[in-house]
Amino acid sequence: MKIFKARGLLAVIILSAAIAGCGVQDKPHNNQGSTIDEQSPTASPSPTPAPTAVIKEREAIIYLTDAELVETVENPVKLSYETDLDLVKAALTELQKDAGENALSLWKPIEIKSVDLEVGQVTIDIHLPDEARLGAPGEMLVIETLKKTLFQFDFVQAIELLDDGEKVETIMGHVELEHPMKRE
Amino acid sequence: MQFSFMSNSDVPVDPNAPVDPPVVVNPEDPPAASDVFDVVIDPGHGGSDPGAKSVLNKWEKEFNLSVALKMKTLLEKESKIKVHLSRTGDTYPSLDDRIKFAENLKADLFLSIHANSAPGTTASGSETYYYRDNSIAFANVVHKHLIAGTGLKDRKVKKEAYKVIKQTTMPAVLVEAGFLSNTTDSKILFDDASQSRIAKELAAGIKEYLNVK
Repeated sequence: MKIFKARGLLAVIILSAAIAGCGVQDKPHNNQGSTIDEQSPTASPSPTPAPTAVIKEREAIIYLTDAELVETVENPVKLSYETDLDLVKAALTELQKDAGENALSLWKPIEIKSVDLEVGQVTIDIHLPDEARLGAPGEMLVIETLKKTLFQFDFVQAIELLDDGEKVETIMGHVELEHPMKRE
Repeated sequence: MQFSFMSNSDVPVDPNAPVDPPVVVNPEDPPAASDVFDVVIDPGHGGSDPGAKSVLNKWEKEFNLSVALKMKTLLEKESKIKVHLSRTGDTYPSLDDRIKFAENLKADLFLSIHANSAPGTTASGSETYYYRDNSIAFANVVHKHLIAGTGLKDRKVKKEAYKVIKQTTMPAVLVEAGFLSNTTDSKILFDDASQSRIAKELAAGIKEYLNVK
């Protein structure tokens, strides 16, 4: 009887220690995951309540073009963000900046009116001032640099680009716009 | 091998074969469709879509239409060519409209006229785009004449999936005559004599490709 009781108690102690151990182990792992892993879902309710905002940071490549408009140029940057949507917005902000004489932004003169993220789809509503219109290769690069920049984030599966809220055939008159553009 | 040899030997033996076997395509049949070539010239943009803005404060749509109208005048003198413009004024046919226009005409050739623009002011020169393999030869001929017309840097013939040259079915090319974001290019593209020279060369390119003398 005595022995049995002691064993039972021991079992309880071991079990509770294991549970506690799990909890302790889980915490740092979780933190690390949310800092580096960009795959945490945004649309679906997050399992972590996270009442205190945690500023995360990650490296990303922003795609620009050379002065001769023949290829895309990679500009590595560090982006700070709290949510996946923030990350998309931070990348778009960088996409609108030049990074030197031979790393020019194709998005600089394009007005970004709104950015949303829902179930893996980024929706960007733009206003295109007439001064922002480019030739055929420029328009191709506008689309290509957007896709390359946003599809590097695993949570982005599709991009819907709207022109003043409309699903237009083309934004600059050469390239047919897909609605939405899907990850290839 | 043996079988074919036997059947071959049969032919000369047959005395009831005074006429040629019906293998030869009748060369007398005139290819009626190529009596007159339908050529679509597509001045890019127009109306609500002005295209790129030039550093000289003019718009791409003006250049495109001006060259297209000059080409029309030149090609109308050719009895074997019928010219069709996708727009003759400041209007915007959609890209689908332009494609349907050429397809409904069963056009033999499609030439879209554009001018380029880049971020920054450095980029300069003329380039010609094709997408489908049946357009490569036409692109090469047009590009040679485009360079002669603009006198600008040769940015070569390139392949890209622009809608009007992708979704049409006849040989189709899109020319980017020069960069409106570059001052030198802009001055040439908006000079009347230069426009006439570009139009003359592009028309000559069409005639050369169609072998119309």
